[in-house]
Amino acid sequence: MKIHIALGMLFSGLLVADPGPGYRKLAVNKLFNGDTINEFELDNGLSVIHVPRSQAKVLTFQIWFDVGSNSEKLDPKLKKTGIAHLFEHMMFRGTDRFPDGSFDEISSRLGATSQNATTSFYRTNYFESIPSNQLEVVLALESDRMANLKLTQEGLEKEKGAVVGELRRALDSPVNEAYNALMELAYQKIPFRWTVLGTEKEIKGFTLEEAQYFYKTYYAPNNGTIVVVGDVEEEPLLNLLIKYFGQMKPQTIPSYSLPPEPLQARERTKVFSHPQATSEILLMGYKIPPISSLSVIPLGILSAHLSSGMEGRLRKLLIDTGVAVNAYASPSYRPDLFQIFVQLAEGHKAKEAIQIIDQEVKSLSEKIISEEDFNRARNQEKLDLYGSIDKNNSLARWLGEFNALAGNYMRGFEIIEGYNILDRKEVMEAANDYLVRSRRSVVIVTPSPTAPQKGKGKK
Amino acid sequence: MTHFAKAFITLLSILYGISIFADPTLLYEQDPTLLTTNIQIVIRTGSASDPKDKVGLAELLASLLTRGTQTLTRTEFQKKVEGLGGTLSGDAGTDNIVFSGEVIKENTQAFLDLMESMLLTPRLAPEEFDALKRETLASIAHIKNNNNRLAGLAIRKEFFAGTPLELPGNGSLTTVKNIQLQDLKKIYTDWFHQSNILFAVVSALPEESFTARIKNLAKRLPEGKYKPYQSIAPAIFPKNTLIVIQKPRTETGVVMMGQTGFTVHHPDRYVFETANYAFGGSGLTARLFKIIRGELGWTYSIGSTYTAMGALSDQQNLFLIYQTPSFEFTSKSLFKTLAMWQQYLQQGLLPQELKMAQESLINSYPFEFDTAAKRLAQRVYSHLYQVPILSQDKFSSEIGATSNQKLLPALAKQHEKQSWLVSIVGDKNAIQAQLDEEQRFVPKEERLTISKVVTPEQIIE
Repeated sequence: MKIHIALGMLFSGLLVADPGPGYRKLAVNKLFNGDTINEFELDNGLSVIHVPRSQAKVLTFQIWFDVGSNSEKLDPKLKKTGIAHLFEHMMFRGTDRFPDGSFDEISSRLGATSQNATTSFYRTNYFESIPSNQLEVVLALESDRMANLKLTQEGLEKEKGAVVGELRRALDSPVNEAYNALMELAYQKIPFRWTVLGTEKEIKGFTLEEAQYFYKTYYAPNNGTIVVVGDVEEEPLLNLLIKYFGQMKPQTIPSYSLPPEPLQARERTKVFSHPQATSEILLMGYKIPPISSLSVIPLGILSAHLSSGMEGRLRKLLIDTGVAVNAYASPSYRPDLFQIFVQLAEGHKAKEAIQIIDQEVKSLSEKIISEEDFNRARNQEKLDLYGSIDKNNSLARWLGEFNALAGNYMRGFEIIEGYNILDRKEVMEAANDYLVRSRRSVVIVTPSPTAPQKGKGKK
Repeated sequence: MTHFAKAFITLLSILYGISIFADPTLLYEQDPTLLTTNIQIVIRTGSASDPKDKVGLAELLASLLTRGTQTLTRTEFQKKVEGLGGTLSGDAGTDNIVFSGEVIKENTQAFLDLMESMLLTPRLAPEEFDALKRETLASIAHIKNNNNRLAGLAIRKEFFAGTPLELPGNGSLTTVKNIQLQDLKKIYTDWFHQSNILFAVVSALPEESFTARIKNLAKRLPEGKYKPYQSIAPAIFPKNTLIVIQKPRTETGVVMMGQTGFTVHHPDRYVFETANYAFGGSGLTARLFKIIRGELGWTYSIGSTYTAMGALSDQQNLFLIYQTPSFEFTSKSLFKTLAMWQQYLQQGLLPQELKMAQESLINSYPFEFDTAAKRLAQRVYSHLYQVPILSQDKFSSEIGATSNQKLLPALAKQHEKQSWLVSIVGDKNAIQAQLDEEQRFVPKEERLTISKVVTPEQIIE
């Protein structure tokens, strides 16, 4: 591919061998809007990504750990899923210094907004946006719960209850159940087939010892990355990070390879009904290469062509024609699947949507995308990025997610830059290579026969 | 205009959010770091002005305007917008229609050309109208999948029965079917005039790139007279009233409890906002969450808001407590919430709760202004509803003035004569059994009973 050489030249960050007291500066990069991205590593292995900005006296702090539900399933001491997510809840349960409930209370008093945490297959993150003069308090809180979390049986049982509630709520969603079914269908060996939340039995069965093991092993500085975007300069930030995180000891992080997934040779299909579904749902996933591959660039154009804006092809073919009420395509990574979702309109069948999509994919595989359509897709992708990087929290999320996903926080920008040198023919080649039925898993959710039906139950 | 006069009026604009242009009005914010330009056009009439048998009219017009001009078909128009790296949408609120456009900054002028054509020479094509109507009907039918929306719509229907606000802005199956293309053409003529429009732009480009163009654009609209919005009063329920939306086999119950709220001009607005933050509005640290989720573990989410119908405006809003308990705890959680509400009405807040709410609101106030888009949104809001943008000091003073001495009489005045309208999504028999169990020691005549059972189909029909 011709973009191969050019991509290597992009964003070649300045490597700085600058041993300082307690940290090393690893790279400096520039963003499209002129912002600088600095990368550091503390002596204990904690990674730091920092974007200084002075437009407002606020900043976003995020900490990302390279642990999600995949790690726990592969860890011989755990071998089940759900604890990574359960831990996301436990981290708000307090320490000796800041007892149960005080994390939320103190950060709320500081004026923290957008405070939350999320867990995925491959990472867990915690984040908040704060007035910049409150940074030290937040670092004291975050470092304390990372090192000194008070794990008690009582706290564990309370959070198990909340997580089971979350799990049951998810069960009411036919879309959520469709996603879980797709993962189970597409993967026979890789732990993507097990849900991040785990099962009710697994959640209720977690022991205090397992929680302690999980915490000590995975919430270590050399398994984490801090992202700070906003109103703080490099020197005061590093001084504070060393003060609060610099004393933590690195741990031996277990290293697991995902088990080899048997090659998918033909299409897989699952159909099931859901009591809350009122019309059919179609969810399809095509196996694609990982985020580090060059193929993600034409796949990004394909997804924008299919679902960006009012002129996205899926909208024209499915929504404008009355077949569906919602339709989109999107590549996901870890799991590496090009997903197409369709919420059918009442009275329409998923099979109709599959036929229409197959026809469109065939056309994309046989004809080079027009220049007009290509430019539209590329510019929509740029708009999506440009519109979000002016916000501290969305830029921090972008950097953190690509860092966790690809081990390269610049990967998202590389992909966007890659669109500028992509040959339109490569979009057709990507459709030919990846959007093929033998790589596809298909889930169809139908309304349950016992679900309320149109016209029934009226007085 | 002299340089001095312009500087003075710009200062006024910064301080008070009032533009130099009385007619048309352009609110502008420049931020050189932005990679996109954001343009909003506000028409100051919305879905509350729809005829009650044609609710959805304003929403349909807002969408139809983005579907082609007299010289460009829908596809040609939208391909041009999106090819520029832009996005353009139209949405109707209660008292306005907002067209929001965003484009990568290099293509700002070409994008403005398209917005101008959309506004002055819309296509309003019959085939696009039919297609839009069909999409809208499919989308309304799909609401049956969303239990939160069903519960919210049931509440709205009762509070605003017989008025256009009994339905959401996109209407119901019946009202949308009633709408004809000529209805849209009529409101386009009636509403799109010089005195009824506001422009707001945030961009890296200098203000001069927009002023002359937008003034000229507005001049090409017909003249007209702005009609101030008249708030529609919601009903008051003298006793607790329960509606069940019949949906069997749910794992999670959705419970919503509503009372009337207030407009943006309410004198105790900041007292209520501060106190509600502590009672239910702040998420994890609120009293409702700490007890019903944290201590009892009955629900996944719970909270309360005075902005159930969107941001405070000239329309009297609704106050809502919402929760999603595991189904078996639905009634327990409801009665516990009612008891906590009574205690709140009688005793107000604990000193530490009040202090936390005040600190939290005051310290997070900078986030209302931390991006150019947010600053501009504040100015638009201030202009539309004639409310001042508070400085940090003034805001701190308003929030800091809240006390139980102010709160308790304000709560009594606002809420004492009201009871709750409650909507629950779930199976009526299972809910009735839970109600019976929870009220087994309550005299029959005092029990909360199911007043009405509706199906999801009835909510959207």
